[in-house]
Amino acid sequence: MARTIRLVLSVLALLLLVSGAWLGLAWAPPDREMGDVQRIMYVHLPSVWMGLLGVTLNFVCSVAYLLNPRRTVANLDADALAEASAEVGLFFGTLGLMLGSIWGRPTWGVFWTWDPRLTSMAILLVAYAGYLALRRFIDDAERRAAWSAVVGIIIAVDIPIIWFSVRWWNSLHQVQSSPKTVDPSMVFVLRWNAVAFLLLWLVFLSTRYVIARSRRERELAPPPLASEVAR
Amino acid sequence: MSALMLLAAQAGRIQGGWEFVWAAYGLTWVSLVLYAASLWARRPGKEP
Repeated sequence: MARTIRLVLSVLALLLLVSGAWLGLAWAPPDREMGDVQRIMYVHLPSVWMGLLGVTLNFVCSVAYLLNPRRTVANLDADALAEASAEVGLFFGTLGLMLGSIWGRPTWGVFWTWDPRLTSMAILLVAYAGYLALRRFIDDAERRAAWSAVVGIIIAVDIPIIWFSVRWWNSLHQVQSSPKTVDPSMVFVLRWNAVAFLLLWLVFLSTRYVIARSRRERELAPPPLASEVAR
Repeated sequence: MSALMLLAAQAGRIQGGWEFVWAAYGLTWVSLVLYAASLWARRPGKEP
């Protein structure tokens, strides 16, 4: 059943992505100031949003695990979901940052600048790469879940900093736009692509969750008896 | 007068830049395909 749902979501996501690319590249009007370069927004913003959604889910799972740190099936599921959301969040976040960098070159004149928004995002991604590395270094499943939950909560402090950095400091990055200030056709294309990325995020997350849970089940399975090994 | 205003308005606009747009969309699609392939390779039953 879960596989069928994932397959349906995958097909739907692919259709929306292909049509979303056409809408973004050909149908949407060019921006008044940025011209056609603004079309990068339709992939940059959904990528960053899915990245932040992933790391926010990681924070929620980390809290859920630590609130009830007994080794129960539900808790290990929370840990598996934390692992999956961290990796998927890191993937989309990195993609979003790279796309922003490509967009930055024609608009700001540089691929990278130590702007508060870019720097705080880069710190988040490096921290999540460290989080995933930490998970690989700890063999004991319970200790790994507990330690990474603590690290996940600490890293999450950066999420509101990223969001509000453009308001708190003098940032080269623009503040969040409102649908009221953007042309309706651009809002429509952005929402279309956001839904496509959300469906893909769900497919990636559920697939990665199945992988994480399968690994956890293998780790916690009782070792085979000596007689079974001898056979 | 109107030609001057038009020139002034166009001065701050970004002209062209399609190579950046194609690079961004290309990177997006390649990344999505590669990550999907990595998940497929790691699916349960396929790992040692």
